[in-house]
Amino acid sequence: MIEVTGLEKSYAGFPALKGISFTVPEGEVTGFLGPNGAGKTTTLRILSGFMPATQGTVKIDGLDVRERSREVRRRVGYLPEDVPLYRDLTVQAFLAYLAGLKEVPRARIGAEIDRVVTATGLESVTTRLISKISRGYRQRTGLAMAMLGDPPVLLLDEPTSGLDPNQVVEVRELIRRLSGQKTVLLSSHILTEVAQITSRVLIIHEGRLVASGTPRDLAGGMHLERRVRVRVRQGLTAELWSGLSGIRVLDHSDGESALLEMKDPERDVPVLARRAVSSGLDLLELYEERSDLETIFRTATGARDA
Amino acid sequence: MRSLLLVARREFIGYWTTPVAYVVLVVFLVLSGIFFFGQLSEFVNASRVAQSTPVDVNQELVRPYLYSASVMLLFLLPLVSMRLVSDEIRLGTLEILLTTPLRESALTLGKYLASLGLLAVLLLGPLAHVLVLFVFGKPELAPILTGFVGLFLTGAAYLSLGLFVSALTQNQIIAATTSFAIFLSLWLLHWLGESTHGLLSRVFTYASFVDHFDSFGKGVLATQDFVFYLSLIALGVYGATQAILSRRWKA
Repeated sequence: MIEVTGLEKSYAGFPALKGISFTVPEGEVTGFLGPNGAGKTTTLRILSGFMPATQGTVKIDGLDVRERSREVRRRVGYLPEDVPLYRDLTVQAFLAYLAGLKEVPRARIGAEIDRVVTATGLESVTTRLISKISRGYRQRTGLAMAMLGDPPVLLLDEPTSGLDPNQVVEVRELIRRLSGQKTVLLSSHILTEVAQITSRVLIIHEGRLVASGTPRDLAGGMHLERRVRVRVRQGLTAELWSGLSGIRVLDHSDGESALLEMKDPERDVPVLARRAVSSGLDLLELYEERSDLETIFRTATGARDA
Repeated sequence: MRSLLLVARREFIGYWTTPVAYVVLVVFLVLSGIFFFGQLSEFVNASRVAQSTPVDVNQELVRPYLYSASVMLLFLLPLVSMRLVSDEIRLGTLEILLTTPLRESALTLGKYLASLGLLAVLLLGPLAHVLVLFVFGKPELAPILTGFVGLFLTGAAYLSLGLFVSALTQNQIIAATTSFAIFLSLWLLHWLGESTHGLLSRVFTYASFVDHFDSFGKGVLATQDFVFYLSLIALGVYGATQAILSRRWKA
């Protein structure tokens, strides 16, 4: 459980965080979203105990990060941005060193390394120098490091940056599996990614929390329009959606497909389907485009017109 | 304590995974060998000339030799201490270390311990040279041992101040250059002591390595010399720990 109240941080007078508050419930994976420079890394660095806040409090499992820093650090696994590692060590030696520093009992270090190596799929590179392995493996080594000692809270700063698409999928799977067991806060500037991994999203912009909730909550709360794509073999006309309220045509340039913005797809999509079939159109596709989060993000960060 | 030893071990092994330790070791061995050979030749010549009055091998050979060894350390130890903390700052790995339960003091002490280990290895060279003298003559053992204690403490003081400087910058060249300047100043202060008077002169003289190192070379183990060296060592390690703590605030 992570509780953040009125967090502020200034760097030499420049305010990077302007008072943010949020809670991450136990066992939940929460996404921390915002453009570059919004304050995500600053927040995670404060939560990890790396640096203190200027104002405000952070409690992890009820313990104040500043007053009981070492106890908090025992409970937190932290993957810093850009994954700094010792390049002169092998993956195995690096994890052994960090396991020791994280106070894993000496007799259990071997088993603990095996556990995190298996979980992150590093088996094939354990004896290789970190300077010789690919970016993807380095990212996974960082993730394995964060998991050492089985901490109940994980803070992951851009855990999938620099990975190729296959590796991104693997890391996402790994994080998804942690859901329910670990309290996870992960930052990202890639919206679709956060939507796929996390059940809840915090959106931060210019040092302020501008929105929070599940992607669906956020869409509802902001009265966002949702987009539905219709595609038929031929002969698509505006008659299909005539008479339905709250529909706006975003794109209907040919007789084959259209993109509609609608307020209530649950009511209107079945109507469209029935009309298409009854008027003899060959319906190829009828689906809601999953771009909600992008819209939420742009609305929340005030860049809708940009 | 366990974390401290882990840091020390990692750091000590780290010296040998880069060329630094080998280069420092080879340079030190070659130069100290040349010094020893030169001073030995001079000593042999001097003893031939002054056959009537016997020359003292401890005073005429070992003492100046250990003095030159301390000067070589002055040049080489900045290369040993420069990376200690600055490398962690530059690589960003300090962020990893400081988010484990490791204490800042365990981090600095561990790193310091590793550098002392390398210093001990370096001093094996001069120790071997001096032991050779026992094959051909009968030097006095006590002043040799105290001389080495003085040499080790001088090196230890260099390293502790170098550790402090290393915690102030992420640039190793700046760390090495600044450390060298500080080490040299601590010798040169003696000079200022000679050209000033009264309290100022005594302060400069006390703060300089010269007299303290010299008294070890003469075979004297005095409390005030130990206090001098141990204070410098404590100052360096404490300063490094505080520098890391303040880096948390600035990060």
